[in-house]
Amino acid sequence: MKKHGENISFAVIVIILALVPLLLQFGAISGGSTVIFIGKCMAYAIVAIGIDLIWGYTGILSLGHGLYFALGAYGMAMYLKLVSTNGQITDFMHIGGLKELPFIWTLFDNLPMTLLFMILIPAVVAFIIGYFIFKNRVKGVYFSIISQALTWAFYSVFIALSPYTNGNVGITEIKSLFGSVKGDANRANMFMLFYVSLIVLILVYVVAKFLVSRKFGKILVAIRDGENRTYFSGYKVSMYKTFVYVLSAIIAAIAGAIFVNFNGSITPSEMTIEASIMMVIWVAVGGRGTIIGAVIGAFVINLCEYNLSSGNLVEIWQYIIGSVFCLTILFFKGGLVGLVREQIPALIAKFKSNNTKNKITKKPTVTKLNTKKGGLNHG
Amino acid sequence: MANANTVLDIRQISVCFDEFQALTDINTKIRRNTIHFFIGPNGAGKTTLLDIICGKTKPTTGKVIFFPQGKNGILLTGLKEYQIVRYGVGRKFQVPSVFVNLTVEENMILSLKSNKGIFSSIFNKPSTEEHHEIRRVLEKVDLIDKLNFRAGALAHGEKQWLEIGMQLVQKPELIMLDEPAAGMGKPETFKTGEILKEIKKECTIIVIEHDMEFVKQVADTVTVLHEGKMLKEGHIDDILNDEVVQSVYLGRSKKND
Amino acid sequence: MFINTLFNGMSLTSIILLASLGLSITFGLMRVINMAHGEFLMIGAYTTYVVQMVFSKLVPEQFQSWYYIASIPTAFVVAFLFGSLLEKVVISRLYGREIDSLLATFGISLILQQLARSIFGTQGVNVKAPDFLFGGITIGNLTFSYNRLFIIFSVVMCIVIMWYIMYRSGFGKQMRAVMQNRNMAQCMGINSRRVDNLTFAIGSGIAGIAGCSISLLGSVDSTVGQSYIVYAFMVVVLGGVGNLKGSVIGACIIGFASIFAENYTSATIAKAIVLFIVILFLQKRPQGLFVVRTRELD
Repeated sequence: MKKHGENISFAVIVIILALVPLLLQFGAISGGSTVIFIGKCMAYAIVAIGIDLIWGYTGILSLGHGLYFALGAYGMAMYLKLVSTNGQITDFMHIGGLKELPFIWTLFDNLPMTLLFMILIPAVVAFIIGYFIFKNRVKGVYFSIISQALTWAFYSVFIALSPYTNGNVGITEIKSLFGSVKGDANRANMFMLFYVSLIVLILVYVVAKFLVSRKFGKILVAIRDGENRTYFSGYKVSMYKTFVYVLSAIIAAIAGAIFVNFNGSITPSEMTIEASIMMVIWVAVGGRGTIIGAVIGAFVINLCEYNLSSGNLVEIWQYIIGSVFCLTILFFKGGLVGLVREQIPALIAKFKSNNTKNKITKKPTVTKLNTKKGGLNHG
Repeated sequence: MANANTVLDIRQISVCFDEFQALTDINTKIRRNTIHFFIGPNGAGKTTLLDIICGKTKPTTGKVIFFPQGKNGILLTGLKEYQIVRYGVGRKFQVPSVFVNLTVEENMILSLKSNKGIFSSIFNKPSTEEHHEIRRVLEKVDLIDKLNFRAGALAHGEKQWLEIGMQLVQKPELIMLDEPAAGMGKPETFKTGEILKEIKKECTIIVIEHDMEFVKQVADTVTVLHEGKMLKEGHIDDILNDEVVQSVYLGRSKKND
Repeated sequence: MFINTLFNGMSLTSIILLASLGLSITFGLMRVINMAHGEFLMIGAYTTYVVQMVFSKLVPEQFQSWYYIASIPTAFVVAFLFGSLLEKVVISRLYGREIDSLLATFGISLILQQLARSIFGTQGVNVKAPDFLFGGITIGNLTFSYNRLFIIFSVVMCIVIMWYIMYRSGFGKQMRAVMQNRNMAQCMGINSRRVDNLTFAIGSGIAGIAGCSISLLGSVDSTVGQSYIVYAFMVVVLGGVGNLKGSVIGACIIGFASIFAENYTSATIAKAIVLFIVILFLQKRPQGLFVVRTRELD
């Protein structure tokens, strides 16, 4: 039942997502921008699944998955840009003093190559980083700190190489793979993109679910709980870690490519440390160590942010996300999923067994707040 | 070189941690299908010696050679711990270390000899024989009823059992147990001893233990370590009668008794 | 040319070191990964700004410059109090959970940044350097600005004070005892909760002083601490977690290397290259330069 619970929840989410474009078509949702935003949330959910594999399951906290997300996004963005310029060099390259398309971007001048390299480049980068770091048994917070420094270094270099990357501005004003998605006239394009993205989300979920259900997934948990012990069970832990790291980087790159289609632009702010930690926040709040938790977390937080962070509420939103995250880490390690699965049943059991007055005053209020959000997503 | 009866040859092992000389010139041979005990007071270097055999610590000098049944000797020093495990040398740690978030059965599956690679761990499932083997071992260590329990929920003694079971299911030629009876009562300790006697038919066992009753019950050979040096090696009766040993170790433990 | 580079190197080193001294206590000794450390720098910087404002309202013209002297202890106290509060409410629940402490303090960092924006606005504010820090010493055709000299001076002061607290005072003994063996220290009658709290607060207070110096270098906004945090962590890791000497040398290496590399390329790329090299070095010695080796094998 427990296992099915996850898949049923995911099925519910998929059905709701599938209905979103129809609701727009029939006027139940006003404005295509909401649908585009939900599309971006799907990309966030995908990257969250990747983060969950590496952090929730394997216990490796990477503060740099924004980098892989951005690498995928930039690859896709450059392809889309080159489509609009017919393969000619772009304005910013011209301004930057380049005479012809740099080699790295010639890899992205047709779709099959783009799909290949948008995955291959992040995978190779992740492999090089992961292989050496894990082989040398750098672990725990040391890994986190190093990944943070790497992210920062890559980010600086990315901005410094502005003739190639357009620096702080990033690659802007691009259409999606299916043409422009903005405005009512282009609704067909948007729906196409939306459903393709939904299918990718489903595929990533299924693959992740398959992996963690196999012995492979148990080994990841074993590494998280007792790395040395896992070596002594005869497993080459560093290879497993590298594999998961590369896999999660690939998933992040795919997510980035989807994101840029909806967003129409990509800036280096997506590859910062803060952006990377935000991804971890989604997983933590949703529930680490469960694939569905990552998906729920990405949707719940981003939808809340979308609804709250307009106008004067921006300030409040920062306080909310900061404290929700902090409280999750302190008191609800299992996140929303853990709350539904363990803490609420435990609380109910406690209520039933001792209906005394000695109830803690603080906890129930927080619980209510969180369940409300969980309910919002399921309903 | 070593005769066919030797399963592990420890040659001139010394270890230094910075200034501290943890082991000095250890030489010994472990005979096949025996139970070999390392005893000695705290800080004698027993655990360090096991760490060296299983690759956790690198010795400053010396080597350890492992002779699997019917194969050429393998130099263990310099190999990685997972490689040593794959050659058939298992290790149980002092603190019970099972994977607390996995079930008893999953713990056993992870310890199976096959499928250590990434892709086989994704695509292969344990065979029927392996499932039988797991059940057989779990019956032996009395955990068959707790197949689907989370290992973290087991009692201390049960975790010790599970860990021994995890070693057995690996089918090693050599098992190293660091204080297998720690935290166990008399009957449980006795039962552990009987199990060890039974499994030595299939493999060789190295044990670190303080409980002299237990040593007397099962030991074939005993090596006494003291301050990183070998003090005495031989049959338990000779050890117990040796004056030097009594003065550094047994005398003290008798007083404590 | 060479001396100029050397001076710039020392200047950058002292800034990086100031930013990382607090961390070498909270991370190095307490094993708490305080992602809000940058915000403690920010608190120090904003405190300096507030003290300056207060002085400009209340103090006669000729004593204006003294605001900066007053702001140093004030910044320490404010950051100290924030640190003490943070330890009590959040950190104390997270000892032994390093990765969780990293994440929880990131949440705190978001809150503190927003707090700064709510109070001081999103626009950066400027701290006017006190008169006595204008200008500099000119030797030959080289100028050593007082500003930078003062920062070097303050980092030396901080190190001396920290060294005294840690290795010479009675509290320092208690502190090191608790960090090395909590249970044993408790058995000896040390109130470890109080020591934890004070230690973390001192680390935060030093970050506050660092913020004071940082406010002289440019405009102060809610993200001012962020640019230092990456370096601060790398310094502590490179130096070897848990010792003051390592942090000093780590900061020297990173500071001087960055300045020397800047002779050949742009400042940003130079810093990135230095970080890459440090990371490469840490592959060889994951425990950093100065390892406190023990027989404990895990």
